[in-house]
Amino acid sequence: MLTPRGFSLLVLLLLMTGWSFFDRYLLTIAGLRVRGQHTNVSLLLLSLTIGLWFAWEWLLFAIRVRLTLRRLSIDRELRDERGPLDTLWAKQSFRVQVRLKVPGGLALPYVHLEERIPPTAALIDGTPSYQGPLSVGEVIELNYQLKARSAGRVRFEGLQVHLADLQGFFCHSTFLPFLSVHRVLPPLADAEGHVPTIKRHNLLPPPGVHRMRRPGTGSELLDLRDYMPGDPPKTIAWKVSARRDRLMTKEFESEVPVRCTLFVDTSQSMRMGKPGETPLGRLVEIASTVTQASASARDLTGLCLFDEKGSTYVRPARGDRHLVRLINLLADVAVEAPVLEQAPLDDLLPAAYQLAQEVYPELLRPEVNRFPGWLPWLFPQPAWSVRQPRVRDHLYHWFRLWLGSYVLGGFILLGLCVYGVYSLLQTEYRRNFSVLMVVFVLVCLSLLGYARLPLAFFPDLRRRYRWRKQLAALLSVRHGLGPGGLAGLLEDDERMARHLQRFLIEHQVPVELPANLKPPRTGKLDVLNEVLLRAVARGHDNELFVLMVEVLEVTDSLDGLLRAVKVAVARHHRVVVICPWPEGQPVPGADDKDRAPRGPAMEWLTPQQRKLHEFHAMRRRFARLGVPVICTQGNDATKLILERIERLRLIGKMR
Amino acid sequence: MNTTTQTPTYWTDAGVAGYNAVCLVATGVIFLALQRMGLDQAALFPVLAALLGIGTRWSTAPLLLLVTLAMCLSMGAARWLAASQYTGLRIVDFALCAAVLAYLLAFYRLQSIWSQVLPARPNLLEPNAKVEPIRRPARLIDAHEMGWLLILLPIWAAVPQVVWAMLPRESAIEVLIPPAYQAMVFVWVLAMVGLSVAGVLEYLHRCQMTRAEAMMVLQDELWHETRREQRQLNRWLAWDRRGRPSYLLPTLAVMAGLIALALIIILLI
Repeated sequence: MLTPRGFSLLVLLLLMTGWSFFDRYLLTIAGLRVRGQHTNVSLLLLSLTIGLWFAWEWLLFAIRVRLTLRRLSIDRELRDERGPLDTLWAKQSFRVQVRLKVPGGLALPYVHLEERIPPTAALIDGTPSYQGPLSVGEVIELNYQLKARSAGRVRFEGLQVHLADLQGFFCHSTFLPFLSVHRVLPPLADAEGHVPTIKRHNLLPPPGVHRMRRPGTGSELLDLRDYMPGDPPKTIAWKVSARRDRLMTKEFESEVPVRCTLFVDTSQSMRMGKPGETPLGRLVEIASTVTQASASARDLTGLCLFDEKGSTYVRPARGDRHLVRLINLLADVAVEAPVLEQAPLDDLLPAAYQLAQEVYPELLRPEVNRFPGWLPWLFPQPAWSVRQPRVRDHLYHWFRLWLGSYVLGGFILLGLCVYGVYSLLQTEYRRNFSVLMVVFVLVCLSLLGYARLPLAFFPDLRRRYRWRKQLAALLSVRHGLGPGGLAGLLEDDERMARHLQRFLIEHQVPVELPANLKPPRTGKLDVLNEVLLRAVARGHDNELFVLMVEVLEVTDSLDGLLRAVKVAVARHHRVVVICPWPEGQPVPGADDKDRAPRGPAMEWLTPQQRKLHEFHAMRRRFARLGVPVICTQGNDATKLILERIERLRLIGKMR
Repeated sequence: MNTTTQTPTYWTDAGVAGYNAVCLVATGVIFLALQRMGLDQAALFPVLAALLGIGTRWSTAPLLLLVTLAMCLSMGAARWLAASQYTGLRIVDFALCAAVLAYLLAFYRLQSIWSQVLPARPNLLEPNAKVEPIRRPARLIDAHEMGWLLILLPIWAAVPQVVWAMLPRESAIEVLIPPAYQAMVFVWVLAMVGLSVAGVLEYLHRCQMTRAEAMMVLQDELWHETRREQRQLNRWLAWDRRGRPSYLLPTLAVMAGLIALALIIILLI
């Protein structure tokens, strides 16, 4: 509660008060002056004036904090030009209005309020903060405009409140929780994504029905063939039969709906990256656009979300309710971030501690979550319980043994100093005040330096140990781990990493994990093969399967997927593969041959060239089956994919 | 989001100008009071410290002012000390206390505007990033604030004189000399009042605890009581999951150290 400014003044006041009582004696001992034995009243009055005022301000501040802070009430409303909102749309802005009211208590001289902006939203306009006094009955209003970065959820935690007195001697930071979570739906399809739903010509089939070049019951003539016993007489082409002198039968095209099933890869590798910039976010946007475009063309649209562990399948259907269901599913799946057990604690701890300081300051206070200062000195975490111990972890563990001898050396040094000063006082130098002062200062400095020297070793490890203990206590309570949860998290790195990531994911805090850290990619292709084969088995004619999957990292295990795709193609279905491409890298194109050489020079390629090479190899393998592979990057990707899908439909008509 | 405010100049803003004026007047009163106490040249040191603070916005200037004042009042106020046992209202001390308090209040309020009102919280993710301090905007200074400051000054300057008058003059314990006895009474009274207030505030805090805070208290107590046993158990569990510890690296380090030591000894010999 005391700021450094207040602390320095308090220390000085205490010294002044003590000095005012005993300055005569202390000066006499120092040999400076001997003038009676009275208290220095002027100095005492001065110290008391400032000291009592300081104490009163402190007391008043503490009472204000206790009485007023808990009574603050918050109200938040999200709205756009049409009215209040509950569900948001990605890439669309909305206004946030926060009202803070003080129903009772005492007025606060200085308050700094700050709304915690969700990491998944971007501030467009306005200021989500306020500073100034806060009187009883007053309503403070914060108005600002946000834009949701991507589909998923936007989580508003509450208000950060910092109180201070006008002089800056005391401060108190707390957090007023007012949790509200809003679903952010993928962006609406733009004009290019819409397929016209009005029949432009009578010869065209109605929307949602597509001609198929297979014999059926349509109205368009497909072919003529010899009459087979059992053919209905009305299909006999009489004029042709007369001309050829044998019975001929007319075959008509099929008129069937196109069933489009989207297979979206939601594995851990797709969730890597900043919120709103993950490959999964991009795929969800595309899937949403394709879904809306298919729905507007009255095609039946299905969805399959798969990852390493399993899949969620929604059968193709049409209708508004079905569309809303699919979009909600996509929004829900886009929100989660990856949980990696091998994530390094060194990256997670600062992010989690900073979040806890902002959102849970009350649970980090020493009154409820104390950390003994001697703990990291005497009982550090042994290197054999660290997940990936470094040399410094080994040294840190053995540091305490050295510390014991260091403390012993300190006592010896102290004894030597005392003996030296005593010896000096026995000589003639005791009458020389200057010499005594110099010796005193030197002794103090050397003792202080000796005491502070160990602080130079492993300060970051001690700090992280403190963070870890406080976070372990917090997470143990938040995640309901029971009485032994604190110690378990404190000693087990994997468990701690898992819970820290869960904590950060809950609050949508992005963490920059090392680039070499990659989630396991095994298993997702097996799941995809299985669900694709199952969809083929269930499917009717004229299905369109859109595989939105990251296959560049698993090009060496594509055989199973290629077999499943071959089955789908053999059953006259159409397949298209959409592959997310890393942002900032050139999209593969026709002029890639120079950039992606083949052959023995592979090991000399840069990672970017190697990726291009792998992409072309993979595209060739799919191309042999007649399956196009499209990369997603940039704003034009959605339009491109819709065009390709529409072209696939046309191929079906013209075949 | 921009929480920083433009640093105001000395006289452009009415509030800042008012506080500057208070500082200057207080400095003048300090000088006059010290002159009245018999400090001639020595009175210049506190005044210089005060003016230095106003001129350079040096945040340590008030502390320097107090230190120089303490030294002046201890070392140089010989004539004034002779009359220090006078028990009535000490007008010069009253003026000095009011002036110093006024200076401190005004200067620190200006510091909240110039420097920071809340201590900056370091960015743990980017330790080298510059953290913008939170300053109080100068526009928030109003007439009430200044008025209350001027009204409270004489009250706070008079209260210590009452306290001093209430402290016993003679020691009730023969062994203790009066200053020590007075100091003891003062500290005892201060400690009793402080402890009572702290107890009431702590009780209020406990009453207002949330469920999570109360659980944290219980959990923390349990951990502190059984910390040693829990640590051993959980380290064994972690060790068991991860496999046997490798002593290869420490052994190699020790061997390398021994070899280096042996080489040094051989070279020295």
